[in-house]
Amino acid sequence: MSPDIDPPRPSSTLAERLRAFRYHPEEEVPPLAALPLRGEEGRPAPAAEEVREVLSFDLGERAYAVALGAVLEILRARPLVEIPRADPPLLGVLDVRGTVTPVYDLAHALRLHGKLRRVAGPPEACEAVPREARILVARTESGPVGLWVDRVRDVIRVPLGVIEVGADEPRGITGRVRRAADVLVLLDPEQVV
Amino acid sequence: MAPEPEGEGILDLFTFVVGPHRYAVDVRRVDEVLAPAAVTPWAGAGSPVEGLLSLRGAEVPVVDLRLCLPRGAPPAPSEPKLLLCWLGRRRVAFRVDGIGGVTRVAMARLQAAPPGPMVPPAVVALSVEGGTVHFLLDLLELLRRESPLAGGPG
Repeated sequence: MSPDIDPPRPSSTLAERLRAFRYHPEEEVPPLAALPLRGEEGRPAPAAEEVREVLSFDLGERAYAVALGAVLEILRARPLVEIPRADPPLLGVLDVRGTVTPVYDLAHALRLHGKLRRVAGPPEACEAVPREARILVARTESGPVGLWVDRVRDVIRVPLGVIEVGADEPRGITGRVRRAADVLVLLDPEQVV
Repeated sequence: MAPEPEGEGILDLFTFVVGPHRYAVDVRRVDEVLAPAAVTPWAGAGSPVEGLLSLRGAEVPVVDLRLCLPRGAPPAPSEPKLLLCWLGRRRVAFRVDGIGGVTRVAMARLQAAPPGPMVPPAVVALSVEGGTVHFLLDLLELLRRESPLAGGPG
């Protein structure tokens, strides 16, 4: 949208109807739903703050996210220091301001592809680092870890009520959010690598 | 990294399918999406109330939205669900033909619902994105119309 053009404002009637459309804990409820039902009395209404802020990113064509609070920083992806005989999905290590940080191939950890990226070791042995690739430095109990991702997207506020949690989710997947165009898979960095 | 826009001009919607149309409610209304479950018939409850759903020690009424809205084949293959929604401080489960997901729209891009029989009841606005129309459904207004207790004074 051009910055010098104001978007049209909703008409007052529409704005009024949209106010009724939006959820308010104190809204007047019609009799159909207002019957005293066991177990529902005194149930606290959801607070507007019951949302989880997540950082979304891509692995290939799929959308993933981790809790924003777990992300310490986002670095432009770069060649790593090789660790001889490192086990996948460990790619190598990175010096993040004096802290040696292990970096993992998240797509490999999630079994999206079987081949580990070659991004550590002598430059001639490494593949080119894509321009949009990033390393998310995430907080875990054992210290910061780097997660190699293909592209960072947005910070998204996800209402807790729309997170679907399956009974048999693979390790590291904490829920899924259906969106209009795709499904956002929520990850726990602690468990996924 | 560009954060998504927020504020008064933005609506986060949860979309679902009933009959041939796609609908949306304020995402903050949605408490859970449930697989279809057994519903205990509720003596005295008339259509569209199916009965009561026992949910972890609580009982919530189940309303079949398919009885309140135009019928027809869903626009795409879908899986019936129960959409557990907040109405004030109560919860009501709505039976729907399928769910879409979360989407964000700018309020300025919404269109007022035109009057007339072409638009389902209790639709307050239309969201048209990429050729897909979502009817923004006022669940409270819909229940007011459908309530067997409606019609009296007050």
